[in-house]
Amino acid sequence: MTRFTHVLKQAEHRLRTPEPARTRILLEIAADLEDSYQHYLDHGLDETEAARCAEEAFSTSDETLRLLERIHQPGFGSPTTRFFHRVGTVWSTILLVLLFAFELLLAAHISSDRSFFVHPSPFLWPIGVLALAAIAFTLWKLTEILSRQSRDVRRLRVGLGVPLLVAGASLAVTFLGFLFHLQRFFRVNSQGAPEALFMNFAGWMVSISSLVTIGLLTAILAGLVWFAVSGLVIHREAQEMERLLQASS
Amino acid sequence: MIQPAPTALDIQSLSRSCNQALILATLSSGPHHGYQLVLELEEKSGGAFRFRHGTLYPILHKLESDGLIRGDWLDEPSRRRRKSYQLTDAGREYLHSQIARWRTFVDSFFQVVGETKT
Repeated sequence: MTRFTHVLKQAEHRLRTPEPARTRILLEIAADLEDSYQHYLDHGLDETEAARCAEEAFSTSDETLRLLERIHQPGFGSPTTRFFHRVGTVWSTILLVLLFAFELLLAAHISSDRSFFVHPSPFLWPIGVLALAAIAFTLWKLTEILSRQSRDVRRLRVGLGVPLLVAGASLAVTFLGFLFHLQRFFRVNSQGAPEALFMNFAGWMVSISSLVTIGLLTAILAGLVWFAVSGLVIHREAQEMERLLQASS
Repeated sequence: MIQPAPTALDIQSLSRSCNQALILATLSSGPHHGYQLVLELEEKSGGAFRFRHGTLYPILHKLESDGLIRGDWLDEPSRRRRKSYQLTDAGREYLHSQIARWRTFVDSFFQVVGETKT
């Protein structure tokens, strides 16, 4: 292995694919380099010459590396991958658990207050469906990540963008609902005196607050799910990379 | 994903199509490591098809991501862990369509070139 360390280091520096694809590519090149070296030795070359020929044969052009990057680039890009390498430290895990707990407690507190839902908006229904979708996605991904049978970690990235879509959809529905209720309010109250309009508007704000709060909470929940699940996937990929490296050394 | 094979070969993508067909055809005889593939291709073609090894990986990985071949990591006693590739059913089917296209292409080529007076 040490014979070709500098070749692999060079390729590693130039290759910008996320883990564990990067390690897999390097391990594959390392194994083929060794085979090639052995082949040249068997054909009568001395060690130095055989190593030189093998290196020459396996030199990877920038174009080759770009092609590999394109093939192995995940849907949601490398900046997020680099960001999520920080996930998994003790502090980030504690922070994440606290955020989840706060979000759940807040949601439980709000839903236990009946006055909050005196005038429920019809827009709460699609938001409820989105919240259920976020919960179902979490359960599905957790089962997939923690299952011992899912050995192919490449499959774990499938559908990772779903919670972000849910969060976006929740915000969009909330905004649409807000606009709908606002225009309805002004349509109904446009004939009244300014003082009455002001009073009614304050009352309307209270009634609309359930839609806005639940919509925002669902978006935050979906965002947290995306953050946590992506972190877990990166963690599993790192474990897989470690396993491959150990098996190959 | 690989597009359904049209009847004619696109001149612009000849080299890629040729490389894919050569690799798939070599894998049709059984699983190979990357390096074995290069050697066998060179040997079978009498040195006519020489792959620069580094250029092999994008082709292999693209075929793998398209589901035409499958790569498995194998543990071999006293050797480095290596990746072995084998043809999938979809790959076999795709290879057959590629061979038919190449036959048509080569026939057409010689129809044009064969009439040329030298």
